Amino acid sequence: MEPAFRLLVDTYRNRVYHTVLNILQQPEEAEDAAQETFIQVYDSIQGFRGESSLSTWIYRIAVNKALEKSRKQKNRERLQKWLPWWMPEEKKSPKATYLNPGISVENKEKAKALFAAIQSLPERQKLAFTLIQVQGMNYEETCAVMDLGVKAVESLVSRAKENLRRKLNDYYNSQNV
Amino acid sequence: MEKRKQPSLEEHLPLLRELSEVNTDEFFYTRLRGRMDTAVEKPDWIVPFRPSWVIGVLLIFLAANCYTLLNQSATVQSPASETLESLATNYDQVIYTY
Repeated sequence: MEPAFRLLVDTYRNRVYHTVLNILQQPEEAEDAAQETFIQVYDSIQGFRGESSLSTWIYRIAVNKALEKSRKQKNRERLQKWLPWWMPEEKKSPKATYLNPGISVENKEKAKALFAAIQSLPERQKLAFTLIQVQGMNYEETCAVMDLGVKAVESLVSRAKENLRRKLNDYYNSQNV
Repeated sequence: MEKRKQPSLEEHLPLLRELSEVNTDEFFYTRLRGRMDTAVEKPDWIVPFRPSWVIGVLLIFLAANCYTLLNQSATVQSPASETLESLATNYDQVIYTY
């Protein structure tokens, strides 16, 4: 099983890492989530019944791991806010200051505003928007990963865009003050 | 002061085409294997010290205390009147209040 597992990891590691990084926007957390994805793949490969393609199955695990991490981060932030004495310094979640290296210098500010707005979207809207607009997945694949119909995903993306418009507006208004 | 024009969402979206694929390094598998070999499932919080548990226990404790306190103050009479009344009863006297 070992060589087969290595082959699987080598085939999917970059795509998995890229996906979870797009969701989490933090390289360390993304590495952790990618590792956890492959550990779960290793543990549950016997249960894979081929109902979806292998890549969809792996993406689904990766997305769930990223969402789990994202929820934990939010819980930690809430806890730090309400009980600052409870949360030791080393447990504090790092701030999402990561920016994709492909972003040009003149667009850095805009990219920061956009990614901050994406991060603050409701979970499912964020996921649909990220997979389609950021990751560049097609609707069919996104529907398979999210286990939703096309209409539902379209609606999530459309609501995400509406929310992003509002959030960007708020962001620039606060910058102008 | 003149307000700057706010860039719209449509002006932001082309940025997403600039994103380059970020890859893991070649040692990803080694780190993964290392983690799998040494993996001893350790929860983030030991059950009794989970914040939600502790807060829950504290709330129950607080509620029990409030309940006891309220019940006590409802039943206990003030010691002064108790003493006065028992004294009057002991001497077959009646206390008139005007």
